[in-house]
Amino acid sequence: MTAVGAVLTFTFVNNVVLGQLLGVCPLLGLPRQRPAALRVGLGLALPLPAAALLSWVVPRLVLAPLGLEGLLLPALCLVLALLVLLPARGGAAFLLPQALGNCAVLGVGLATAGSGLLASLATGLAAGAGYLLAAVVFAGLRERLAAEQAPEAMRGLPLSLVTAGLMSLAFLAFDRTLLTALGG
Amino acid sequence: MTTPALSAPAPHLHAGPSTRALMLTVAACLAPAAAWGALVLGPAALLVLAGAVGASLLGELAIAGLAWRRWTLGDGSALLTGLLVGCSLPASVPLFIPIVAAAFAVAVVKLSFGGLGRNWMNPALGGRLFVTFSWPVLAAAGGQPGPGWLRVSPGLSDGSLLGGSGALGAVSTLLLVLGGAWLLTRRIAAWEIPAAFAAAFALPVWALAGLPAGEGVFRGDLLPALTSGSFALAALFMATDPVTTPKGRAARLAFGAGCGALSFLLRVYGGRPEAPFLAVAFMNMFVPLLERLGRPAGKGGR
Amino acid sequence: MSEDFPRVLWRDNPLLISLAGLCPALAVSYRLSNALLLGAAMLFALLGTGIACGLAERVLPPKFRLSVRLLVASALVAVCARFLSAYAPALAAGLGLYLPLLAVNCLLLYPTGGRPLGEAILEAMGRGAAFAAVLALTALVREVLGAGTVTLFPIGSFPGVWRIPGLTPARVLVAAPGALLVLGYLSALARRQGRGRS
Repeated sequence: MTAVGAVLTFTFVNNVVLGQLLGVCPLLGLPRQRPAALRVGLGLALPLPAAALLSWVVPRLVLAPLGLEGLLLPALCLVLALLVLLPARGGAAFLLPQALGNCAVLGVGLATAGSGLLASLATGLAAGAGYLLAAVVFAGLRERLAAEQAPEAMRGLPLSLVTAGLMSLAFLAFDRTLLTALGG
Repeated sequence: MTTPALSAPAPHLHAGPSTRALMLTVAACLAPAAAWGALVLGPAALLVLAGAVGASLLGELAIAGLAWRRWTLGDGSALLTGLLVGCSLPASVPLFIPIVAAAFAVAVVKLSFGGLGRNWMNPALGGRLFVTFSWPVLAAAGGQPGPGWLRVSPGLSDGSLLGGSGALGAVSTLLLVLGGAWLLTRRIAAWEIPAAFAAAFALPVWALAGLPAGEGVFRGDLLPALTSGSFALAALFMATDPVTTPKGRAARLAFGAGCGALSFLLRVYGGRPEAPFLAVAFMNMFVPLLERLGRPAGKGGR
Repeated sequence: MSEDFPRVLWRDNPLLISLAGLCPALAVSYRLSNALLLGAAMLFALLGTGIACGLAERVLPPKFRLSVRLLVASALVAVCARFLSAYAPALAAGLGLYLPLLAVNCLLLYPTGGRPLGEAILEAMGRGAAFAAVLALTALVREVLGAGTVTLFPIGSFPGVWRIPGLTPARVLVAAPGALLVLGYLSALARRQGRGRS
């Protein structure tokens, strides 16, 4: 996949959270107030390019020399396990356990394993952008939902899921045809 | 006539006699085009419209009425939603499609959020999207419906009931434009949105649509684009829904422009006849953000 | 314990109420066989991490608990994935990325069990079973309505896929939006059930 194709894919055609369903838990757990939500959203999006980069570095520089190619999953988790021990003080929201130990980070890492450096980085950045986009939009919609006028059973998580579902539905408008036509 | 309390954060519309008048006015403006479609396309179109409206009314009755004891059929919004769903579908679709679309629109996109004024996505569009992607072949503008009572053969649909090529489609679009113009003059629809929509759609089409066909810049075919029924329907009736579109001039212009640009992309490069519907539904999710961005410029201006 | 399970299934269902482990649940629940497989893998991992970490936590300071759980979980899941790829590559391919992603699943990483080891493990298995049940239910709904089939595992001459006649399935349901929507409504249902029961 070309770099441009990766960007278009992970941001729109197969958005990392609304299309590939990675990192949904933290998205739904975003704080309700928009400023806080934006900060946490950024914190969730930043580790994605880092994960992509890591999954390029680790197999080539660590696992291959040791002959442990098949252990990418435990290796990545080891890095995450160590990072999680760092204190997440101040604005370093991206060091929170939710930010590091979630499906999006690991998923992007595993998905980009085996790609070239540029493609991996592009994918990671696109995934981060896609995640940020989804988080920002979701935070905006969430504020509107906060009025607590929905039917009781739907309030909170169910409505958040349905909202995400409708967002995902709208994103289906971007498909492969568009991608290839735009020269991705 | 001014629209009722729109400056409140939520809900964005208050139920009441003025709401009903509003809904019925919009429905009335839509009716000529629908009737024309039924006349040209015959029983098929009539079934689509009836199925959509019927399912919409039944859905609202069953959920709001029986389950919640809120008898909201009187506010006219279910009728309008059904009519919009019906007009947004080609006449050649199997009957279950308008029914499912309308049911989805009312139950999932509107009532799950609490009913009128509390949804963020236009219900008719949500339903249209659901069936577009669930049954891509069946819901597409495929095949030509048989002639109706006028005994003339229409061209292929452009994703709406009687949009698309041919003089008949153009008349339908004209009726939609007339209906939309009425809404604009009565201030029911904000002019910024269709204006920006049209500009952001027409300009790129004119400039760039020639490119894929190898014709070069500024050779795009404007006429089919602007006389497209789905474009007129989306720009005048769906992108102007006060509940799911922004307030404030800047936000509205941006919203309209986004819809237009996206319609262009999806239609010319994505090859989708129902592009305008997809575009507006997509832009719906950005409304809270657009309102935020537009707010410093003015306080809830119309 | 027997009254506890209904509570865990509805009122406190980890998936539907407390958001745990959404991503794999959403992503693989378009086919029943996938869901059953993932549920089984989850139970296996829960058991393993429950025992290993339960023992380790007695000697570890609290700061390291998450990291240790992550490492143990990843090892177990890697074993699962390896096993599946070797013996049933088609099934493994169906699960794709989402089996390895169990390693960071909230259900595994954030246990809510009691202090005694046995109790903690039972609680974890209960939550895992609730998770698996919801997963299977979601998959059933999505697959039947979205693809018109029910896919189980090929046994003997049964090819594993049972096609339901007479349905024109709605494709959206087996795609991402369908996952989110179906789970959303199941979650609302669980809320209503839970409230009635308490």
